[in-house]
Amino acid sequence: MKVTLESSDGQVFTVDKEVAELSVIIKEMLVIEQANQDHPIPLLNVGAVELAKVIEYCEHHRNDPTIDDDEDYDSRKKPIEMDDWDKQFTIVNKEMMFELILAANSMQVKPLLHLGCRYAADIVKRMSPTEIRDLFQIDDDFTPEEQDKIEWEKQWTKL
Amino acid sequence: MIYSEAPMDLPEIRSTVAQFLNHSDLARAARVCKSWNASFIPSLYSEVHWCPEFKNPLNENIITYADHIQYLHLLMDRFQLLTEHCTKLQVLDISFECQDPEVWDNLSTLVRRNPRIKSLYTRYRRPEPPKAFLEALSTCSRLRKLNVRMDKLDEIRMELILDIAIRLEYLRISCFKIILPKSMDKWSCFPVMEELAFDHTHVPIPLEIFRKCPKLRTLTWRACERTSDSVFDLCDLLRIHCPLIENLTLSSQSLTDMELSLILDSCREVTLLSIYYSMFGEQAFQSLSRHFSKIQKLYFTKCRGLTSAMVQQIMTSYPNLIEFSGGSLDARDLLGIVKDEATGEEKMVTQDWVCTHIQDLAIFINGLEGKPDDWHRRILQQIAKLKKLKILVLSPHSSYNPRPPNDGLNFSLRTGLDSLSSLKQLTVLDISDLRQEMEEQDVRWMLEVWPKLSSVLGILHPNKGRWETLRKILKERKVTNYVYSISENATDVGSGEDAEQEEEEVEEEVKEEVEEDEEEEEEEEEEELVNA
Repeated sequence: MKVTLESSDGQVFTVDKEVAELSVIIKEMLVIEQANQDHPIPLLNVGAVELAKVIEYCEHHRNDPTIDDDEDYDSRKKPIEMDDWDKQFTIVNKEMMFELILAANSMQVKPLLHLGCRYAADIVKRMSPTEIRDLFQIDDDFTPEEQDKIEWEKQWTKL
Repeated sequence: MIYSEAPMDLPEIRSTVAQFLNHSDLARAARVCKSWNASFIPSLYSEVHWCPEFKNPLNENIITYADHIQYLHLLMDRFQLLTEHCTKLQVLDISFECQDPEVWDNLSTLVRRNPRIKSLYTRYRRPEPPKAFLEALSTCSRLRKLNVRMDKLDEIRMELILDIAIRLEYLRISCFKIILPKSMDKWSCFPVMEELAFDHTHVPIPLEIFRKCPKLRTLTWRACERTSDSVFDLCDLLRIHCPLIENLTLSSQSLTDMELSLILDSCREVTLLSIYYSMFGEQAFQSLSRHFSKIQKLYFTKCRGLTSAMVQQIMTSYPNLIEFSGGSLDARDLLGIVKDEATGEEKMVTQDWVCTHIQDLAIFINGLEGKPDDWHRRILQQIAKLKKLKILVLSPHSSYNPRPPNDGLNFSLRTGLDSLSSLKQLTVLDISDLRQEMEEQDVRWMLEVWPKLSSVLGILHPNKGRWETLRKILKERKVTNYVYSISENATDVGSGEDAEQEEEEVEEEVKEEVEEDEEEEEEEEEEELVNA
């Protein structure tokens, strides 16, 4: 069975239902709107370029087991292995990757969200707080008292 | 651009990113601003190592963030504050010597206040735990993994542990002396037990317990001495009672070739085999060969009987190996040098290695003293086929014979090092106790071609000055160069410069590798016991 998806800029994509269902949001919509399948599903937050990329990802991972957001400490400690295809997939510029993270987040495509967040984590790794603030244009809004407490945190974590 | 916001502005994205950061990264991210602090603190505090040497979190922070603590690693016996405030622990790792009854009381209280504990590990040998502690443990209905190390377990304590074991998936008991209950009738079955391990014991294998674990996949039995085990009973266990067993670790002093063979024949499928201090001869090898296509992990520790020809046969016919350690491999076997009966001339009929999935390989390739460069080159070409290699250990440590002459492989571009450019995943190269005469270009080549390289073990050049130069080149790229010898531990022979910086880095590594170290410690301890 096929479903059609419409990007925010009006482009329509037709994909297999099982591929689209990697998105939790779409899966839920399909349950609710079972009768009304004539209209494409609008994705107001996702542009055509990103949607094409998300679909490419979902096509490749259509048969993967689903991942649950687990409260479990042990399972959280073991991130899913990235295969060669995933590595190839993440060779895009930073802006594109960030757009993809947002798209994956709004569509709730969990494995893609994880892949993107791992990419973002690699950027943040080993950066000092100042470097992070510069990169993301964030203001340091700690009060002097909070600053003291945080300085201690720094000591503790120098393991 | 459709979005005005960047992904890192969204708290849910930051929380997901947090899963992929280590402790120090999380700490830095938490110091960026208030909203980042709120996102990264839960992950930062999800894991607390409570120890005397390192600085601990501020008491007020422990109180504020106690609910985030899921993994608690206790390295010292003063932890009252944590007992008072932690209620959401999932993993409790107790790593200090516990003698004081008051501390045990404190531990019991901590356990009782944390009903979500799923895993509990005690890593240092200690006297018997008080009954009250085991009783507290039995209140943790979610407990699935339990590791206990102690000197002895009497009948009453063993009964308490077996009561708990009914809901365990993993149980490891490291204990010299165990007294089993007189009757096992009380426990009809350990229905979810998948991994059961007994370490360092002086008593025969408690088959009565193993027999009641129908789902068992992993059996570990490491005895300190030859006990009066019946190998036939063990075979029955593998055939009838626990047919799912596929991971087998056995160290009962000197199992014979025949016994190992019977054991391997009794397993339906073997994916992991680890054998200690036994005679692994031709018969056992034949029985192992039946499992050749399934074996993924194979470890031989101080086993006699394992020949170079067998090691070569494993490398050329076990396609799914991921880890393999033990044994030495003669260059003649590796290269397939055979004598022509008629002419008396030697020729080379090399069989290719097929285990291309292997990630961790430890064998001693020898028999190369005075041999032509071409031999080194051809051997390196075989290693080059193992493109997934992460850890490559070629030092004599891995073989049964601890210190044969230095006739191992040369690592230099002169002898064909460049064929190893395919090893893109390589992180550790251990060439300890192999005589090397590396040049600057060799070291630079390794740094250039192996992007993930983090550590090289061994002396790279007999001349101390030249070796020092090579170490500096490695250090510039944050690649460590340790020398490991059996009698001493790993020693860093680096100079004192940047001492502080270095210390910091080393400590960070130490924390990440804490578990591995403990494994090693365990091994060492075991060796001591055996020697004694």
